[in-house]
Amino acid sequence: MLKALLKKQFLELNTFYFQDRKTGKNRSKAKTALFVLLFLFVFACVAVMFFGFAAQLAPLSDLGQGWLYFAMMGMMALLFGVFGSVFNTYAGLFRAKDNELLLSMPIPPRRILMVRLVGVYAMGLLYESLVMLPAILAYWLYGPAFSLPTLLLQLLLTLVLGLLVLTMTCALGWVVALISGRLRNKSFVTVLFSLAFLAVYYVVCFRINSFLQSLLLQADAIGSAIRSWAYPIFALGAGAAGQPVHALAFLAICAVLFVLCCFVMSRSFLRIATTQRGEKKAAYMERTAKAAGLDAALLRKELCRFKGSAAYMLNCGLGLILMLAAAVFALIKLETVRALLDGLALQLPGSEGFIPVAVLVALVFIGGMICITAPSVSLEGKTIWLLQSMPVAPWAVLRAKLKLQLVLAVIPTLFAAAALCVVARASALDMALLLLLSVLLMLLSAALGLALNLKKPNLTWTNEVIPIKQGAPVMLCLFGFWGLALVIGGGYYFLYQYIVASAYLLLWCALLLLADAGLLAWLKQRGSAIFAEL
Amino acid sequence: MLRIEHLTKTYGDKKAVGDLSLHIAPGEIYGFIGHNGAGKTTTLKSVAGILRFDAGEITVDGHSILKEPLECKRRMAYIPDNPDLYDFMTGIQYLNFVADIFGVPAAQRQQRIHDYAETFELTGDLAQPISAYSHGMKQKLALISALIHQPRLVLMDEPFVGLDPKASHLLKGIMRDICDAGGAIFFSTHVLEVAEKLCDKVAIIKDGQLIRSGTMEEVKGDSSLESVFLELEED
Repeated sequence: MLKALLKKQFLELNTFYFQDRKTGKNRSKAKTALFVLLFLFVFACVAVMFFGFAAQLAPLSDLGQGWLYFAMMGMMALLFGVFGSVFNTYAGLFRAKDNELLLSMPIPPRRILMVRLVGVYAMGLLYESLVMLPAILAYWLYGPAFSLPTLLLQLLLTLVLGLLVLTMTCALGWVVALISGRLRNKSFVTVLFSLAFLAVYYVVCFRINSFLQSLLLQADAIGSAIRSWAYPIFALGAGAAGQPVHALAFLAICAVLFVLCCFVMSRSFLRIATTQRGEKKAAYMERTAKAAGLDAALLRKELCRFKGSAAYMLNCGLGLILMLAAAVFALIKLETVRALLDGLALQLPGSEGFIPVAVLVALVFIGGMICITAPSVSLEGKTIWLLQSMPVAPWAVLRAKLKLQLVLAVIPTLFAAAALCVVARASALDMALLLLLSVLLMLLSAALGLALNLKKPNLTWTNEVIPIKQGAPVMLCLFGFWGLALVIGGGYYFLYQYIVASAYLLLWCALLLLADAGLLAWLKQRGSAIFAEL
Repeated sequence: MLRIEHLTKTYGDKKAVGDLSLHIAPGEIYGFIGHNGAGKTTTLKSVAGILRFDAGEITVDGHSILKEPLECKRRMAYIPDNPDLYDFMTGIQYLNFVADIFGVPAAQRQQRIHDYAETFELTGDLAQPISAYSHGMKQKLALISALIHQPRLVLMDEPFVGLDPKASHLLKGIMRDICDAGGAIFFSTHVLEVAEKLCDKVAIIKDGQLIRSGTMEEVKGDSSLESVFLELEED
């Protein structure tokens, strides 16, 4: 029975990774190979990154603190493993689509849970190994002379650490699910958490080297604190550094925690798997609604869709936050940014003209990350019949999609342009041109995204993330704008001896105006016809 | 009210509807019967202005769906067999959206939402996101949204699927009320007993061709609609 369940689990994984979900057929060999290569490449990149961190901590073993080296890398592995698998744990354990089917069969629920735990363990182990294996490699490359028994202990502890990852993942996954199941405004909370995570991620990336350096400098103090207050971490480190007693102690701790976790979960599995914990039902209060016009109703609908999807907001509206962040950052770090620009001006004679062009390049670069219209037609999906059966002209629908992006993006972009102009001490003329350009850019982004989506719509998706994350229009819009940033910057590099910055900006105003007018005319005529026939 | 003249629609090589003509007068409940894939949904979607057809003409109150689509759509409502609604809205947001699109004044819409939501026992769920609705609740919401602007012509594709017995009964009453007020209903169904009891006229379609139409008495004679339908299907 266990074998059959494991086989089913394996088949599920195989289907997920190696089958086309639309056709149900196996991917071609070339596609499979590409897929595997892509995965290996990503894993290799992550492993190389952690190898770099491990190499910086390697001197600890020369200082006789080899255990602290493994304790630190072990903690990193634990966090990475938990982070990597926690998001799938709850869904994988308790909300699996085949739970009801399996529970209706003569299978003890405990066995179903065990099989699911094997999957979660494998996922956690995969992530955790991406830290531990490079750490072991760096240890032997930069640390003491090779010893096979110690290596075997390290590999054993890597497997054992997977159990701890599994235990923590199960506990955290349950807490996350419990909270998220009762949350209102789930999309906003998800966006806030994702932004906070991004902010922490960038802060950690920028400061990881100084953190590792300070760890090396205060190794003794940190080491004695861990010994005194966190024995399991010490046991992991000491065990991996070649002390079997501590390795066994860590194994025992992990085993006890795992057994405890299994015991609690097996007792509650059936109840949790068969209970729907929805959010609290909102009470309906009857009140007179304010009637809105057709355009306002369509705009409201687009806004409702945008703020109702965390994936949509994060993937197509990240630029809105970045515009504001860039403006605030530039104003707060005004002197630093000015010193940087002055330094640049000294290095490149005649480069003063580059500064307003650089502001434009920055605006285009960030503006590419605002592509709200790019998946907006595809997102109509199966609900497209609604707009098609209502007395609404296709152009009114397209106009609402354009308006949403403009309403949301123009003010942050103008703010960013104004702030960057102030910081860059742009002339009044350049500032006026840059403000105009920022509006034209947003219009271009909105119109281009919409036009691309009309040409490449996908109305048959099963998950809205597909047109948002994997849609060609979103990609084309993003990379198209980044390409435009390169063309604008590169163009001025070749032309600055012949044309002043203000004239160059004016030239781009004219070009963007033409592009916007052309795209809007196309959308109104051809785009409307395409939408009507979707 | 609704005139379908020589409607033809093909998908690639397959002719979904061929040279179909139907006239539906005010006050009529017109049933549309046929096997799966006979062309019922294609016809309904063409009338609703969702699907472009290859040949023929469809007019609603004299307005052509091809030349004046918005005029036609203002007069009618369409309810598909599987109502995919905006999951990102709550029930009440959706109803207000539809009312805004059709320009229903605030006071009238409030009254109608109140009445229909009470009738279909959906009032308590109007603040819920549509994503949390069951199939039947979505069907009820689609019905309310279709009725909110008091259309003259209502097109329904399998309207009784997913509805509980009470809601089905209520819907039949509402359909009759619309027709008594001078409107018309054109709906497809597989439930022949319902069609037999409810419809004033019926049309049977097979492989995209209209094989029989007329008043219920003309079509079924002394037999039951079911036996006539099965007989025609076998021919």
